[in-house]
Amino acid sequence: MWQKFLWPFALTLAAGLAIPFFLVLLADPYGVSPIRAISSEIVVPTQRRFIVADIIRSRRYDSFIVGTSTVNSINPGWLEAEFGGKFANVAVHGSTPYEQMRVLDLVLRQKPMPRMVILGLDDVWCSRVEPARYHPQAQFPDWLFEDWNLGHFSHLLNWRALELARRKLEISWSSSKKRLAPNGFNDDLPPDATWSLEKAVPRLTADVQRAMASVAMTSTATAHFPTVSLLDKSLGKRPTATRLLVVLMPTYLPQDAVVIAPDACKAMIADIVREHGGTTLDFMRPSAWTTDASNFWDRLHFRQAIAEMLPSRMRAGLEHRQSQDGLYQRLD
Amino acid sequence: MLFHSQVFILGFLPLVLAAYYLAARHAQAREWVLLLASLVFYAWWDVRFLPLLLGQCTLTWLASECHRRTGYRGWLWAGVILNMLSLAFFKYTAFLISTVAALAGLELATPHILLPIGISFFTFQLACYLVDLARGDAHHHPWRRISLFVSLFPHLVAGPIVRHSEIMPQLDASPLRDGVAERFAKGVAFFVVGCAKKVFLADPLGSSADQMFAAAQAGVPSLGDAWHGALAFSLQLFLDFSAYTEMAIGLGLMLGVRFPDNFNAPYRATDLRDFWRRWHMTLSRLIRDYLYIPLGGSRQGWGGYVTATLITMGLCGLWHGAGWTFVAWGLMHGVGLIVCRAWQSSMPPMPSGLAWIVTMLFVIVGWVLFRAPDFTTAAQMLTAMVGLGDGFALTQAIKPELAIATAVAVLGPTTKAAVEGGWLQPAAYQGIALGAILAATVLAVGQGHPQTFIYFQF
Repeated sequence: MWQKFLWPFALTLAAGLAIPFFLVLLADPYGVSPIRAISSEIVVPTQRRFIVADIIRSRRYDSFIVGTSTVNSINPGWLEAEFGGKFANVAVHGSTPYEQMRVLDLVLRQKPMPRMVILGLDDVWCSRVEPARYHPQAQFPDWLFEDWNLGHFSHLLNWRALELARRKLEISWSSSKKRLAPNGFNDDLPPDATWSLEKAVPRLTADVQRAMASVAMTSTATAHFPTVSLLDKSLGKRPTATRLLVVLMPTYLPQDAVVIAPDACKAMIADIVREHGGTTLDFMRPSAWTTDASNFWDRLHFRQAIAEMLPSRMRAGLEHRQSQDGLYQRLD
Repeated sequence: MLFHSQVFILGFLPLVLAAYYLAARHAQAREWVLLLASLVFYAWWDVRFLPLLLGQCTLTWLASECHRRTGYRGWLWAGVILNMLSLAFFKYTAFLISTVAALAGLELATPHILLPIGISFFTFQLACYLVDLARGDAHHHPWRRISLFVSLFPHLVAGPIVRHSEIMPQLDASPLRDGVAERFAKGVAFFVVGCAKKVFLADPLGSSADQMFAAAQAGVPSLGDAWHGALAFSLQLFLDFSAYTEMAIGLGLMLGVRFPDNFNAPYRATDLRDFWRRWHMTLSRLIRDYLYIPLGGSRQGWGGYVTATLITMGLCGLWHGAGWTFVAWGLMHGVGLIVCRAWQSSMPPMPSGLAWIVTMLFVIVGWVLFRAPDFTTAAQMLTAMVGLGDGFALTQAIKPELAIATAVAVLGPTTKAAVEGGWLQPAAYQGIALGAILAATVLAVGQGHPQTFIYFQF
């Protein structure tokens, strides 16, 4: 008699799990399915920690720019115009140095090997205390940055994957739905026309004060920058044919501000990068860009005009030209 | 391995059930299947825990075997003492050293000793078996039976605390005996309800409570936040623990074994003695039978009763955790039980609504002590709860789960009443509904690490 209960239970459970799993495999929002039915060019706009691995694995790109939201506004098309190749922007907002290195490691493991990698660093890399491994509020899917397929499958049976699959299916059926550019570019800063100095200055002042307070809490007596060693570990995996450019990103630096990224830290970074055959360009220095509040939204995020000019300056720096106007310094 | 994890529901459990029912006709074979599965289940947490569990089972069996051969009861008491020493070492060494250091004003290094999960539960069950042997209330069993009775995976880590006399005969009975489909269906229902309660109610409430208690560690919160945190934790604790128990009872039924009930709507209690008859019932009966009654209970006048109650409840607090906040919580309940008894023997009964409010206020205040990491945090929470905190505002939105959980805990039918009281019927629509709920739960736990159960730390 109780079979009347048990069979419907078992069948409902089996269907309730098999159908979502199959849908996720077909839509493949993470780019790990062997039976993907929807092009990987359709990228669902969501937390970037969950989508950059798919862009990296898609094999559509041979060059990548890695970093945090400070490189997010750089259009891969501008980089292609300067450096050639096919660029993807795989920056992750608010990613910790460890998370950035997980992204970089996946980039460097790609076959065929990447043609060029640009790594944009902000001043958290020069923190004198070891930053948290993961962002406290954003889940980082470590599994997605591993190459173990069976491990990937164990993360596909859940509401988040199902929701992403649903959105991907919806986007593929309706061209009007918002989607992310396949190369990962998504400048999500507000439209430049909405920028105003009156709004920017208080924000910049507060940001700088906060950063200075945080520096004041740490000892500046020693040149100990624990995060930098992460770079050494990841760059050690770099294929020799891959061109490497490390960029210390422009940061708002008013004249009276305490130096957050001291020369000693920059020199350590440059030493590591040089050891691994790369070039380091320092835009994180007082210059016409970084001392002018009108170039920034907040302490870390520069405006569109700077983003557009950066690629050509990067190229100039890579071609052994020191900056005439002091916007950057090549750290040889 | 958590009961509500995908690896358990989709991997471990189906494999174990298949192996168990394939071996069902052979008593020894099915016992070995269950024992092996239970050891794998336990080792999944940390394989380093396994030697201790097996060691204490073997020690208990050796003590019983020596007693069987010689008739000398000293072997049994030696077994009890060694089991308790094991618990004392793993759970209370650091606590004792830090207490001695604080009292003597010394700076002593506190050793970091890994606490094996479930040690309080399996140690008590082994010790009670030896005590029952000494009392002549138990039979001698082979190593396999003793190890299985204690390590049976549904109840191993957080109870219900079972007695050999209620488990051994059920292990003897074939799981294929009459009523197998009904038992299995009811087991499924218990498991699904417990799973859903844990994932959809207890865990969201836990995140609210964690935020409020973290804020109380930093300073005195507002009245609204303090009550929000206290209520969220009170409901989380009940739903979390009762959900675990229901999953355990469900798993037991799927294996043909009915574990004892552990909860009976404790938040409907109208006095503290009633509360303890409804809350963690298997622990209550254990400390009653093996501690309170041997201490004299209520048979030795008021003085004896007060002493026995305070010792019993103080130790009950200490059993929950190696910290003075737990001891204080236990003693607080001890005093509450004494006052309750005195009131009931000398005063007219309170109106039931008022009695319920007084009881719940007492219980909730107790849970603040139970949850707070130290007395300072507890004091800051309680200060805010009486309106002497940082204003009255609620800084965090109240989740709808709080209202649903309150309704479940105070008004709704108990899971036992729903499953075994006639609501559950051999009907297809009920199977479909429960199948859909379990599928939704499995999808919900798949997007991160499932939250562990509060009682696992005890």
